[in-house]
Amino acid sequence: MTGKERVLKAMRCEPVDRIPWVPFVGCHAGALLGMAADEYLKSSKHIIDGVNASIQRYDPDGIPVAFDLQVEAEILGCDLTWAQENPPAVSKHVLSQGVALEDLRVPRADQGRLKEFLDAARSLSSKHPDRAVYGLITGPFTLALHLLGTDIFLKMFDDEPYIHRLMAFCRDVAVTTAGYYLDAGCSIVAVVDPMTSQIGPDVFEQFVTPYALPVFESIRSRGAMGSFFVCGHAQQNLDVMCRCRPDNVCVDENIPLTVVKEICTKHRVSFGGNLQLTTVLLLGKPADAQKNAIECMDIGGQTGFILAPGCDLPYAVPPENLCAVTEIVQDEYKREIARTMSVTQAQQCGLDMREYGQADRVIVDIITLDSEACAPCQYMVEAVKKVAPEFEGLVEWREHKIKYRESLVFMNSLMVRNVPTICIDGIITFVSRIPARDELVAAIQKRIYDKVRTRIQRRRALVLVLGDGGEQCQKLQANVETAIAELGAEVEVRMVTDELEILRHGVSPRQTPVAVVAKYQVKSSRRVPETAIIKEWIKDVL
Amino acid sequence: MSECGSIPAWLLTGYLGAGKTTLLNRLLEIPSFKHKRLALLINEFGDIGVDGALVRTGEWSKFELNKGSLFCACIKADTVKTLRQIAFEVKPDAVIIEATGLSESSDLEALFESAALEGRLRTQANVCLVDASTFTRIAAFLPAATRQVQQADGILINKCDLVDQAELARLEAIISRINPAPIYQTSHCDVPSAWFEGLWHSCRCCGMSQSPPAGAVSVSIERVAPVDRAKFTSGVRTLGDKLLRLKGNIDFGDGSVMVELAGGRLTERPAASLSRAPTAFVAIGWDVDRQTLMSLLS
Repeated sequence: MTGKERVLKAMRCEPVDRIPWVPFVGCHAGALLGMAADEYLKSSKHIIDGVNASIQRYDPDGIPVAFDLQVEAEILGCDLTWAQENPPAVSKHVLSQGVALEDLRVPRADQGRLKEFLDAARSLSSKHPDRAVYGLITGPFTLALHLLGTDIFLKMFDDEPYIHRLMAFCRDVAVTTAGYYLDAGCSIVAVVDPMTSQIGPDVFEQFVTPYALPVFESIRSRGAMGSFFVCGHAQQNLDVMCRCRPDNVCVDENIPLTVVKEICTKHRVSFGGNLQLTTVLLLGKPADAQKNAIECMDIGGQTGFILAPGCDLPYAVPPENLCAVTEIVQDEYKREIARTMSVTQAQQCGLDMREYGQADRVIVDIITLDSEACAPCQYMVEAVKKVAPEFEGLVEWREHKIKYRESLVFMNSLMVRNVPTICIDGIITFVSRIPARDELVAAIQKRIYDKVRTRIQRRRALVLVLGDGGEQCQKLQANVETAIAELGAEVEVRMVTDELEILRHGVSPRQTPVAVVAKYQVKSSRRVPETAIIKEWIKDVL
Repeated sequence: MSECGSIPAWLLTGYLGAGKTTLLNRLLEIPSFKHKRLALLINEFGDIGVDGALVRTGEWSKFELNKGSLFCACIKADTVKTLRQIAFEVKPDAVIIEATGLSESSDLEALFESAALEGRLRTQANVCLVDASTFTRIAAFLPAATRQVQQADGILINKCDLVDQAELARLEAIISRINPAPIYQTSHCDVPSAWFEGLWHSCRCCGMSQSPPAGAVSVSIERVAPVDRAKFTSGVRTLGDKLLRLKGNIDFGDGSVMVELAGGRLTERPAASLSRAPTAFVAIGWDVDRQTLMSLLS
C-alpha cells in the first residue's frame, strides 16, 4: 500500500495496513534548507526543494505543499509582515483600508505567491505519485477575518448582510483555489480555518456552514477529498464542522483526541491530529515525540485516523523528533519498544544495581521485547545461548522480556534504553546489535579476567585451628603459619578452643585438631544490596 | 523578582479598541511600575506593530508577537520562546502582557505552569478591559470576550462616556454576573493606581463557578410577511432586560423601517436600504435561549 493509498483509505474510513503519518511541514522545510521563512515561502523552487528534503527525511505518507494562510489575503490587498521563523501575518486588513468588498476579485492562478505554490504543487504531485500531496487553502472565515479584521464580530450585529456577502466572496475564493490545487495534481485539499475556533456553534452555523459546505462539495465533485483543519479551542464546533461534510477533520492539541474521535465517528468522518507542537515536538526529545505519537495512535486507532501535528510545524522543530515519529509509525517493533520504554520511564523505580555482577559466575543478561515474537531479540538470545556452554558453567545467561513488569524494572535499573541489549555483569555491552561469536566470547572472557583480578585484590582469608590448644593444635598452627609465610600471603590464623564455637563449625571437640579455611570477600559497602543480588553471591558459596 | 523567586506578570485583555494600549501607557506611570525594570509583551490580532508603536518609549524591554492570537497553538512556540527570553535572560522586576482580544487568558496560566518556563513567571493580576459601547454587540459572536471577563481579577469598564447611565448600569449588572471581581468604570482608562495595585490573582478558570455564566446569544430573523407590531412590542416587553440589542429592518405592514434597540430604548427611522426580505434584523439576548428569543420576536 502506498502512502497516498493509505491516506486516502484512512480518509474514507477504510481499513489500512498501518496508521498514515502526515507531518504538516510548512516553513520548517525552510529550516531544513537553512533559509528563513521569508525567503522560503516566496519561491516555488525553495518549496519544492524543502518538501523533497522533508520527504527524504521523514518519509511521510502525505505532506502539504506549503502552510501559509496569508497567500490569498496578500493577493487581495492585505499587507503582510514577514518573520524569519514563521509564516507571514496580515498586518493591514484590506477592507478596513477603504477598499470596497465589491472591488475584490477572486485570485487568478498566476497571481502573487499562489503561482509559486501551484508550480510547487505540480512538481511535487508529479514527482511523488505515491504520496498524498495536500493543497492548503485558507478557510472562508479565516480569510474573512484577514480581509476585514476583528470588526467582523461587530459587523455580525451591525451589518449582518455585509458579513454574508463577505463570506460568499471568501467561499468563492476557497472553491476556486481548491480547484487550482486539484488541477495541479493534489489529491487532498485542506481547508484551513483556524479562526472558527473563536466562535460558537450557533454563529458557526449562521456564518460558516453555508459557505464551507459548498467548498467541500466542490472538492468532492472533482473526485478529491477535503480535510477541515482547525486549531485552537474548537471543541464546541466539532459537530457543526462535521456537518459541513468534509472527508476529514484535523485538530490540534487543544482538543482531546478522544472527543474528536467520538464526534467524527458519529458522523462517519475521518479525523487527524494531534501531536503536541510546542511542548513535545519543538521542546521535547525524540522519546517524548514517540510517546506522544503512540498516545495519539492508541486513541486514533487503525481506521479513519491520520497521525499529524495539530497545525503548521514550528520552524525550528528538531528533525530528530519527527524522524522518531516516523520510526515508530512505520516499524511496529520499534513502536512496541517505545511504548514499553515510556512505561518504564513512567514507573521511575528501579533496583540498586551497583553491586550487580560480583558473583563468581559471569551473568549475561539479554534485554528483549520477547525472543519468541521479535526476530532481532531471537538472534541475540541464540548468540548468547550458543557460546555460554563453552565457558563450562562460568557463564550464566538470562533473558528479560520487557513485556513483564519485573523485567522492565530490571532494564530501567541497568539504564538500558534500547532493545535488544546484552549486558555482561550489569554492564551494557551490545546495544541493538547481534555480536559475532568471537566478539561475544572475547567480551565474556574479558569480564572473567577482570573478575579474577578483582577477586584476588579484594579477597581475604582466615585459617581457624580448632582444638583444645594442646600440642597437636600448636603443631597444626605452626604448620599453617609456615605455609602462609612460604606463600607470602596475608592470611590470619586463629586458634579456637571454645567447645561451643567448635561445634558451630560442624565438628565435634573429639575430632580436633581441625583446620578450617574461611574465605571472605567484600561484596558491598555503605548500602543495602537487593535480595536478587545477594542470592547470586550465595549461589557462589553453595 | 519576588520573594518566591518568580517574576510577577500582569495580563491585560479586552477586545480590539477597548483601550488596552492606553491603559498600558497609564500603568507605566504608576508608582508600582515607574521605577521598576519592566518587560512588555504586546500582541494584537492583525494590527501588527500598531499597538507596539503606540506604547511610549522608556526603560523597558519591549517584545512584540506578530502572528495571530496570542496563546493560540500556532503562536505558542513564539510565545514560549519570548517568555523564556524574558524569564531567563531579561529577568525584569515585572512583566506586562497586552493580549489580543481573541486570546484565552487561561492558556497563559497553562503556559506559566509548563515545564518550559520552570515556574519563573506567575500571574500577578489579570485585568480585562470592557468597551462599554461594544461589549453587548460582540459578546454573542465572540465567546472569548465573555471568557476574558470571566477569568479576570479586575474589570475595567472603559468608554463609559459613550453610553447612557441606564445602559451602563445594565452592562455592569451583566459583567457582575459573569464575574464578581472588582469593577471600575472609566472613560479613558483613568484608573487610580490603588485600584490596580489592590488586585491579586486567583484562578477563575478552575472551580470558582460551578455552572457556566449566562451567555449572550444572537438570532437572525428574516420574513417576507409583515410583522404584527403589537405582538412584537409584547415580545420585546416580555424579554425585558434579557434583550440586549436589536437592529435591522422590520415591516409592520406599512413598509420597512429601521428599528434599533440600544440601552433599553427602541427607536425607529426610515429604512436605509432593502438588501434582503422586508423584515430582516439581528437580536442579541442575554440569559435566554435562542428559541425563546426567536419565538418572542418573530
